[in-house]
Amino acid sequence: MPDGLPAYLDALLGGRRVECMAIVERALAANARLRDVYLGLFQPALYSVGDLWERNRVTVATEHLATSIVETQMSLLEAGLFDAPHKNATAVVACSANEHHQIGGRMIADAFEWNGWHADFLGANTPEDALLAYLADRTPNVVALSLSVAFNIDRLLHTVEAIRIRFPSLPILVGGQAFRWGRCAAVEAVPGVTVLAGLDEFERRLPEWEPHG
Amino acid sequence: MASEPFNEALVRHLRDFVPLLVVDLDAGGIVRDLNAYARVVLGDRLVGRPFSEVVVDFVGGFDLAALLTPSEGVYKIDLVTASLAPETYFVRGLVNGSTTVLVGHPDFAGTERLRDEVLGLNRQLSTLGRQVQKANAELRELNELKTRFLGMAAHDLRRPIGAVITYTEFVRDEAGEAMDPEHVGFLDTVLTIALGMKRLVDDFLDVAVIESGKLRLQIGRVSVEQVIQPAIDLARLAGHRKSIEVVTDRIDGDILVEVDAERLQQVLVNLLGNAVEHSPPGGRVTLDARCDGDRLVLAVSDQGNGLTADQQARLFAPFGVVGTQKTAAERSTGLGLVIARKIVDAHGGGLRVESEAGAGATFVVEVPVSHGLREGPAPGSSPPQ
Repeated sequence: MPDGLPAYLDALLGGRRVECMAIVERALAANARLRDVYLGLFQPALYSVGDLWERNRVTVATEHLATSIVETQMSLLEAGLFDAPHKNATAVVACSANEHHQIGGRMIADAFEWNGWHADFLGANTPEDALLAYLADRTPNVVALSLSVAFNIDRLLHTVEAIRIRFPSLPILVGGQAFRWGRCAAVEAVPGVTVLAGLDEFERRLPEWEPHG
Repeated sequence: MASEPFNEALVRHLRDFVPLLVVDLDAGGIVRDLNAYARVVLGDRLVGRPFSEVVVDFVGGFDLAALLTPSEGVYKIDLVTASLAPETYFVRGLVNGSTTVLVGHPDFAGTERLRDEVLGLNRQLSTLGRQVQKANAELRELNELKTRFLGMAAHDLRRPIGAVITYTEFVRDEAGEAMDPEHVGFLDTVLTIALGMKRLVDDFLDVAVIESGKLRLQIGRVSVEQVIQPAIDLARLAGHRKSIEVVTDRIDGDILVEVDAERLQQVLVNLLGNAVEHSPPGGRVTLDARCDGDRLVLAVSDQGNGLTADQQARLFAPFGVVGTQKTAAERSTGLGLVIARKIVDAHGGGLRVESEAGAGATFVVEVPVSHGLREGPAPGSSPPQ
């Protein structure tokens, strides 16, 4: 994992975009992989910002600015992911309706990519109808739904059930910060749904959903 | 210490800590004082100046007198902030004798809606950026596949076309005298078509090599004469058929240059061939080859119809064959100039056209005369590097 998390967090909280990029570039120059940057800098830094916000140590504006800086950096770094060799495996990743936090879902989409999958990321607040239409058109091997805020869980459950009815055999992966304090029995009770605790579990189990042949 | 009376404490808190604009005006509308929030929003510069200076009022609708008159009215006014961005406030004038305190609050609902929209649009933009990058990667992959396919197809076609040319020439040369002249004519037609196909396939192969990024120059030290003479000979042969004279102007033939002679000849063959094809019978094509400082400059001029600005803009695009009239209806793949420019680019040079409609055209190639070769064998005998 790359060094520099404290400095990165400090720059992020200060809104110092250029300094954040310099730290990431130093990590990449020291042969860090994109995965290392995501898991060693972006993810822990954003978790820390979230914790600080929950403890009233930073404002909503600071949290938004930090998110915006990280997402811009992801945009700049992602290009290399798409040029790598890919398998014949496709995932659709989305955040459910009313879910306005999208970085977690985007990280999962990128994790699919660095594991050789094609991943279409539909972004935050994806309307259920639009998601179902996209799945019908794209016919992916897996759909992954990200949820950051626990009070949106009913919407997520509704979407999961709608997908199950329309696409009975499509594996549904669910994860995100909303499940940080525990899994959700109602979601897991839907057949073919897997709730994942984090990126490590996601990557460990990904071969289960890889198409054969 | 006695505690502050409730109302005074409330007013002081509202005035000092709440995002509320509080501006003290005199009877003439001159600003006497600003609270902390107003100083941040409007800047200190306003003290002692007319309040109307910071009001955005394109149509003269701002009524200061209404604000300075006791009333319950709340007015929407747009103010120029310290950052020069206009911002909407809802303002009421509280009149107290000869002074008035303007109290205004921002458009909270509008600002909140704007914030949500901006954040949402930023997320959408970011997501779309990812989709564009992914689509670009897929297009790059498809383009590479296309280039590989093009190269393979061209490579596989080259050998049978070569066999057609060889055997047709053989039959014509060996058995032509015994054949009916009409049948010899058929063989010539086959040969012409096959040679055209070979040129096409050669262009496709060149494009495939260039697009795959595998164009490697074989730089050697040669004289300018060695570069240009084979191309001139070929152009004169083609020009002879149309009574077109191919002449040279200034030629620095003895000067040594470091270039890929074969590839640069290919460029010249293309430019001279185009010049001949676009020249009217009896016309003249001129080649100028000189060394200008550290650059070799080759200029090919014709007396054809020239090119409009629009035609020039499309000239170097793949398959961008422009609508100029070739004087003997010669065929073209539309790739020759693309290949020529790529070869010149690979030399670190440039290829440009100077032309006006109806006044002929001059194609100018400029390449560096040196590519940093170490001192080598005598001129004309240097092997490719």
